[in-house]
Amino acid sequence: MRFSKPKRPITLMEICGTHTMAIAKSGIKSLLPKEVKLISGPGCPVCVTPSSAIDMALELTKDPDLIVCSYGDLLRIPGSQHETLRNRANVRLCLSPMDAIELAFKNPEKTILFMGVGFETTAPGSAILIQEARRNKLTNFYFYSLLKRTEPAICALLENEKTQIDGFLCPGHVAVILGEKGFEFLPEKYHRPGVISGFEPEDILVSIEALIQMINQDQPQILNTYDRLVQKAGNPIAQAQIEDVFEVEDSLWRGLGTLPNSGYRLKEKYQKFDASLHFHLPPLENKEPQNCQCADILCGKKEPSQCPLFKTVCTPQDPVGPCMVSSEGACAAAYTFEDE
Amino acid sequence: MKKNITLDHGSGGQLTSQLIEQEIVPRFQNPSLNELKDAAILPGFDQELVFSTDSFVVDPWKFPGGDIGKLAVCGTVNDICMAGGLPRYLSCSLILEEGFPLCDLKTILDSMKETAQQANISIVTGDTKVIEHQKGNQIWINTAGIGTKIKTLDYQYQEGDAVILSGSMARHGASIFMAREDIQLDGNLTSDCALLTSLAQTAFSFSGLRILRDPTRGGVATTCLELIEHTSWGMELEEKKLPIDSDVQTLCDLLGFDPLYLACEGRMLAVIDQNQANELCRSLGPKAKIIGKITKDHPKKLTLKTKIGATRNLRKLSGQPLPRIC
Repeated sequence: MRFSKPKRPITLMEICGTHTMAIAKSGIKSLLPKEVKLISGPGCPVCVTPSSAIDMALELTKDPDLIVCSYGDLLRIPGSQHETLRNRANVRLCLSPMDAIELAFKNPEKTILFMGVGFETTAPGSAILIQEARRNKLTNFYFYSLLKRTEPAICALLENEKTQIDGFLCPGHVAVILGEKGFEFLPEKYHRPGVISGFEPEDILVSIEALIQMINQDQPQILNTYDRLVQKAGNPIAQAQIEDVFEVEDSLWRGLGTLPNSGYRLKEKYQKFDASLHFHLPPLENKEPQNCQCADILCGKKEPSQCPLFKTVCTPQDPVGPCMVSSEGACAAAYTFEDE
Repeated sequence: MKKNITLDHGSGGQLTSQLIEQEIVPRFQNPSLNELKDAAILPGFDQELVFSTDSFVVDPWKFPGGDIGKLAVCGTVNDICMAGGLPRYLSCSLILEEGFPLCDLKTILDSMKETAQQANISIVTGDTKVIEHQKGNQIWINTAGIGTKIKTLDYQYQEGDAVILSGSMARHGASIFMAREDIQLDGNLTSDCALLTSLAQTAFSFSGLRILRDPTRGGVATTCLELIEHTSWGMELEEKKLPIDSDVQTLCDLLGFDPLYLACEGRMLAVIDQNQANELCRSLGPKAKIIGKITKDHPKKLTLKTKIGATRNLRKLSGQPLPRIC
């Protein structure tokens, strides 16, 4: 396919980590018009999780009667002392949040802690997990919420004068839950176009072309090229589940700081499963490794190659920052798929 | 280099190569070892011998399509074949954990016997050790094998040589992951664990055959890089031509794995004169495909032409694949 010629240099951001990977894997950047720059945003859930959350979980695993469980990516992220959860004996990998319920049933003498991480995509699954825990009257299960909302992060980026982003490749899986309406704030509030895109290379190519056209014509709207899965109003059942279990709270992001209403905590009726209350966990803080540029890379202010640690001391075998740890991080994608 | 051994040192990827090249080869230096093939070629006998060894620690020991016994015979037999040998004799060392059920051991030994018969080899020596309960993982097996050399294979590539893969990729890695993590998906995803003896013999009959390798740990991408890294040649693969079964592709999509980095245990990569490539492909069966070619253009580099026509580099496997969040 041939792209429309951009009338000026434009910077597009893909928000979602899965898009970052798909773009790198298919080599899309090498096909773009030279005026188009594609940067990665804060949409890799593991990358935006403060390292102190890992430190806290590592501390908790010292209790042999506790089993910590979460998704694969999270178990690989080093805490501030370079230790990972994956090497601890009482840590389990989950493919589905429901695995935590099974662990709780199978290990009645143990306490199960599920680290819930992700955006609106995984929040409904976590909500069902907590509803099920209540239905089964579990007394040995706790949920630690690291869940985040997409919109406050995008707003924070756009309100920062240093970042110049002309349009967004919107995350298809988040949009399955939130619908097209979940991104209408982009044209309405910020006069920026967004295209909700699937994850095949063809989806992404078509979406980038749509963004170029809208920017050329200065007619920003939300377009949906992933309409085989994304509806205008999203998935109302999933939204209701989030609404039933969670309420928004201010939340700390790696790279972006504390953003108002950008996280989810358990509502009062589910509080007995809230790990931060049960274990009296302190609020999180950002402790960045020395010289690590992940904070700026997450906001699109720097590219991986501009970090002094990239490929020298920070590699996928020995990652320093979260953007290299997660397979969906911008640094891991650049390291694995892009030219030397 | 890291101070301690990590799981990644055994992944078959970049750290494994580093360990071998920095710590093992410089210490033991000799012509047979320096070749760094799957098996060593031993001169000084009436007929050159091919010698190889491999240890098997697969967890779980039983998986769809095979078990550790079948794997332990196939693995070493295949390594001998890939080095141009005709496998003849195997050793078998068992390291058993106290408490391992005898009936399971019998099952494993039976499948070793059956696979050895199919490969037309004899298991002629061995050893048994038992370690205390909870200090091992049920059963580990080491096999070593000897064969006679019947085909000289070296890296004498020429521009345009074809790269052939004998069947669909990543089945073993995908099925082991399913079994290990107890993934509750319906389907028939079985390992490709198989002997390569007859496929190798078919390939040996081609005068233009340059090299054979089985893409085990590290997958097709890592193995292809190993085929060029000590030469002055590069290799180009084409994404569209890579054979992959839909069940494996779906699992990889679901979990965020790249099938180019998942192991095969019964597939063969062959580099051959382009003029003989179609005929070899036909002889290897309907699933065999020409997946790429040798080129001078980018020495020591492996590239992939993606489905949308872009080109990107492929590196060795780094780190262990872990399923992603969403």
